[in-house]
Amino acid sequence: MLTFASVPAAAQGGSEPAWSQFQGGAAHTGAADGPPPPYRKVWELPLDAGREDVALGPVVSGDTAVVVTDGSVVALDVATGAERWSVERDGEPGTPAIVDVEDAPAVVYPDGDDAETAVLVAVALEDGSPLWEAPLEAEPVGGVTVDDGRVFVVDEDGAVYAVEADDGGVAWTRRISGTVVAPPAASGGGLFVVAGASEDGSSARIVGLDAATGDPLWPAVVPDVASAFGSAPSVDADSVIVALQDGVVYALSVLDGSTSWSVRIAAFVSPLAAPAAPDGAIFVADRTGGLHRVGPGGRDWVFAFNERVLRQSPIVVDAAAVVGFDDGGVGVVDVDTGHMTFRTAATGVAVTGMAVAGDVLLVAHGATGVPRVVGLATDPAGSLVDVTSPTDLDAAELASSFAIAFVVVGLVVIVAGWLARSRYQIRDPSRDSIDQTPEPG
Amino acid sequence: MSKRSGRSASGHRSTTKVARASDRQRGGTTASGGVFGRLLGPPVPPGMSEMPRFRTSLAQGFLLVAANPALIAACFLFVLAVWLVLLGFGYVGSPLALTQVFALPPLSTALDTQNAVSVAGQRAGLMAGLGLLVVRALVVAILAGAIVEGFEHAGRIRPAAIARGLRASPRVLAATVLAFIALFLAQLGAVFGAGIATLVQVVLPAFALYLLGFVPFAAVRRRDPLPETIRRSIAGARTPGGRHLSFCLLYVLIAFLLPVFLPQGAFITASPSVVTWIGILAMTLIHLGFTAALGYRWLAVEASVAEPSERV
Repeated sequence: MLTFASVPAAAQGGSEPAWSQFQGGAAHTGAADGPPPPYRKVWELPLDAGREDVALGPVVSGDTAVVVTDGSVVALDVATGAERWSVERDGEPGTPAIVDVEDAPAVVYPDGDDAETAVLVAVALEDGSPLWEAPLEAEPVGGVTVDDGRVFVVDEDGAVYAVEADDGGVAWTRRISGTVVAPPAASGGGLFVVAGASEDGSSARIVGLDAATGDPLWPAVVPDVASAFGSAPSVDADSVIVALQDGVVYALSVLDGSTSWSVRIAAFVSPLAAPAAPDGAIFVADRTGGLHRVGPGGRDWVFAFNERVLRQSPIVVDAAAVVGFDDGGVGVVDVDTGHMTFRTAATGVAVTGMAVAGDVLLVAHGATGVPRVVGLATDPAGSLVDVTSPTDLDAAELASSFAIAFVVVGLVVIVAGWLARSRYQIRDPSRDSIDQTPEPG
Repeated sequence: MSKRSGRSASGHRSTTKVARASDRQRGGTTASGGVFGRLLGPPVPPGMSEMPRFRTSLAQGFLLVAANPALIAACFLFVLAVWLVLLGFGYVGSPLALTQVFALPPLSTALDTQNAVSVAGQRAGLMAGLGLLVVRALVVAILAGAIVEGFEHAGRIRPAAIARGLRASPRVLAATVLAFIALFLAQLGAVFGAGIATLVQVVLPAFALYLLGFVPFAAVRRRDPLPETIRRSIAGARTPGGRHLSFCLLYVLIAFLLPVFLPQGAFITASPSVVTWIGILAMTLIHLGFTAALGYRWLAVEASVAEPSERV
């Protein structure tokens, strides 16, 4: 029996403050109390210097944050950015999670790059000492989700694993079809996975499983309009939120998979990013840097940053919706007005993850340069701006821009035409033909 | 017209064209073999063809457009109106959508459908796209009427052009629908992989334009039934030595490439900048010039297209 209730992200996980996994909590709501903008950088920790790795996470428990790169798992102090410990790992990085193992916080992360080495690993948050390993049948993908004492992960062959957090024992596995690249979302006893199109060309699908048994909650939901991929899922109260390739954000009932509502945003959302879902309002960042606020009533607003967004889901810090870009910058939009209030400069290294840790906003960078973690805090000397989206029509600007272009192009063409006509005639070639018809005989 | 041979002032070779054409139509020249040979017509040196050279067609086309500020102004304002309508329907995107407002079908019908899908979703957008075919046919027909009028009256376009265009619009609509179907077929090219798909997506619209591109002008000039209008369009396209398929391919390639050069074209905004508008309007002019060039080519070969009674 599933029981659903909206669970604040900050309350999910074991210790406080907690941003225990991808998008804060098992439901991927991406919301927490944290530092308001404007921001300033308070520290920076380079990771694996010289390698252009992806850095995923961060996840936070108490005063410790953890990030995962291609080659290591690194724990750091959220106040200073100082590295506390690191352990080596291998394979595609996945977002780690923090879960209590026998009442002590532990980091769980995917490891291995093939069927023989694929494992789920738990190490102590305090010092990185190993706790357990759970073997997997293929390379894990996306990252780890923890909920109610269990760890969930999906491998590249579509096998979903539920692993007991205390001892690493596999509670159940369930194979689903399609390609999974993001962590599943969990809430109220359900586990929700978005699988992209299979190699056979079938459409993306949303799968709901009973987190206790792995049994399907309902038949996989396949959209009416075929989509090759969908965003990572998040759960808002009693709805699974996912944006599909057809440019529509769907809210599906967690009970039966039926569509509660849908909103067209006419933009693609990365399959690596999830919508943020803080208490009813849904925030979706599309691939072109459009941040949309949607809900059952439609789209409330969109702010077009015009920057690529691949790996970063939006997060909501109090009244600020924050999104990271592939250029390394971070943009902030007021959740009520849809106006941009703050934006950091580009760093050149893509934002790959964000987390809130008390008064610090942690930003992971990677993929397009040396990975690093940056700590941002409220800048008391800074100031906010109030910028409307370029997509909001400015009639005066539109009219003046068009008028100037109209006059410039029109004048150039008319003058050129006048000069050309002084040398050349416009001819009627059909009359030429008639004129030139040869005389009989 | 005083010259009986050689190149005219417009650069158009004009030696006893109709006589040569009639000669060929009656079998004076043997069609080359194979499917493409039969479809494209027998090989004839370009200079000896009824079909004007590219540069002549384009020069006359652009000259006609440049000589008509009212036509330019109307088309520019239409582009602005399209943008306002898109915004009114909630379009959120870049102004790249405006670079092909005056492209020849099926490129413009593709844009119409794409914009409709962007605003209304896949299913509703496709339905709306079908409705937009009517609007597109009206625009193309009136433009064809204006171009024909312009060439017939030494560059002057009379208001009667609109009536002539409207009379032709049902047949233009039919041709637009056929071109739209070609567009759908082009999408099927995706099953052959990205490389082949791109090739098909360029070649098939060009081929649709090659076969049906003269329909608007033929429909404006004569009130033939639709099948006869289409037959005449295809016959005109097949004018020996006209290299008309190359002309259509050139146009489609240019039309595909134009958006790449739009300044700040990918920037998502409701209020494009001055330079973006300049780019959009310049690209609109290019489409208009090519459309007028197409009209010029039709007028040049129209007389050489055999009447039904002449066909063997």
